[in-house]
Amino acid sequence: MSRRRNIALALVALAVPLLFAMVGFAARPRRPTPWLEAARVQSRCLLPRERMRYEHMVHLKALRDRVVRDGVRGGPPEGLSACQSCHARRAQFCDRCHAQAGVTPDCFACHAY
Amino acid sequence: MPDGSPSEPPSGSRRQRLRPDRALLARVLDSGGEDLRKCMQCATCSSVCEILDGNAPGPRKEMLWAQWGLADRLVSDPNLWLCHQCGDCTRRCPRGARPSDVMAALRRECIAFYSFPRAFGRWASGPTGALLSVAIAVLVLLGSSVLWQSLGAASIELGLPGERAVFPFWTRLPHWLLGGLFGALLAFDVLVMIRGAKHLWLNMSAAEGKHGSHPVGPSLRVAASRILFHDDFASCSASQARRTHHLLVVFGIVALGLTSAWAFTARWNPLLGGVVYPFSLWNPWKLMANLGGVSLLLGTSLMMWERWRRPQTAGVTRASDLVLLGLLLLVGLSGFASEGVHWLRIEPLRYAVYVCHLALVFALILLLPYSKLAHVVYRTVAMVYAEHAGRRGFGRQQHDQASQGKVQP
Repeated sequence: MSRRRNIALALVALAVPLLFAMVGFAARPRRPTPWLEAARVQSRCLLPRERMRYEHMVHLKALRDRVVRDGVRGGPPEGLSACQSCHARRAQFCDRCHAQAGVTPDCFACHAY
Repeated sequence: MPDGSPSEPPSGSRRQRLRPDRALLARVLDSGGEDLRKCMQCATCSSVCEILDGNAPGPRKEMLWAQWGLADRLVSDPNLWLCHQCGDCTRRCPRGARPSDVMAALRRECIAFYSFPRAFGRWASGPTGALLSVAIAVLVLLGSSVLWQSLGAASIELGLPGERAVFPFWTRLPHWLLGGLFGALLAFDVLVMIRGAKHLWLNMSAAEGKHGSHPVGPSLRVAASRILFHDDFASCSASQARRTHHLLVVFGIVALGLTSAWAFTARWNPLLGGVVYPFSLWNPWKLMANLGGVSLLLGTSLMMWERWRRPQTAGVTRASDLVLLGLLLLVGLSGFASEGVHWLRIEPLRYAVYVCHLALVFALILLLPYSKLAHVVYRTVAMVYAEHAGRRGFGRQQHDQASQGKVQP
């Protein structure tokens, strides 16, 4: 029976804090999804929306390494200016998500957008 | 093997025709019970067994039935499933007939007998079938991915507005496809296992030939609490550590299953809106999944260690045991690997590892009703039936008598 009590204690000790944290997580205040200006009509992005949302920085950095560090130029336009050709205004597009996510990318310190 | 109807229950005066299954003996000898023929019916095993009821003892009679090939009696015998393979009988057997391993081999037969379709069950219960199930899983995932793209369903899903949990979203295996595939497979598993459980219950009651003495509801409650705390493992004197190992695996899988169910509904569950991956490591769901994964890895590694270092008490390890333990271990390892490479965003390795993990989980779910994993259902049914029929193991009978003695002055 003492084994039974130990098992019950271990389960309760793990489950109760987790349960409270999960309820807290479900009840957390949520900021609304930021409104983003729609892209230029009939434009086609590099990747589907979901992947762009999470991977655009990876692609931009890969492009930077390719061009600046490896010196490979040419290829399809995939840089910031290509972004700008469809998403014209930075304040209505890039900045909204960056502000919500609390990130301060240093791209725009040099690149005009 | 004969079909679902068991032979008439043994009774004193009535004559009975035995319907032996000649192939059964060969299969049992071949799948872990190779020492079965050494049994001389001394019943040492039955007298040392703490877990089976002394009024319906075992595993002596199961050894005899197996030698004679009485498959219809074996598949309707609750003792087969009440046995937790603790190895007490094997340790004390004067002939080295390894009754606990024979019982394990008979359980394998029982799973194949109650599975549907039975031919697939028999095939999947072997090591080749288990390994090929992983290949089937890979083919199904790849094939459905190609089909899904060509039907245009992926682009429909991508075009829909609204919030969604995005990461790790992969357009080759989008969430709708995964939800549909895994959901359909799980539903099929549940149907197969309900069918098997029903037949097992009916056959056990028919073999007993009388109605149980306790109502089913309370029996279910008692059995559930015994399962929750793994009480029956405690009656083993040969190996006490097995209880801890099995608890680790069970609660690890429960935690991982809960997390999967939550992640699966996150997109539609109004309580969970605005979920954005990746979570922080301190997110409670993430924490629970990681703890569950560690528990699963620890439990399966300890089980493998036990089988390797102490084969006398852990039982004969057949290829199908190793395949299943290995599959569980690989599911845990590939899960953590997938988490790691997603965290580090290593392209395109993270998608490759993700597919490996998905294929392993798919194979595990595919094998659920056909492998040793089916004991989740059949042992539960047998334990509820034992409570219902008033069968109680020796240790519990003693405990009952002691507690009655306390109540009555």
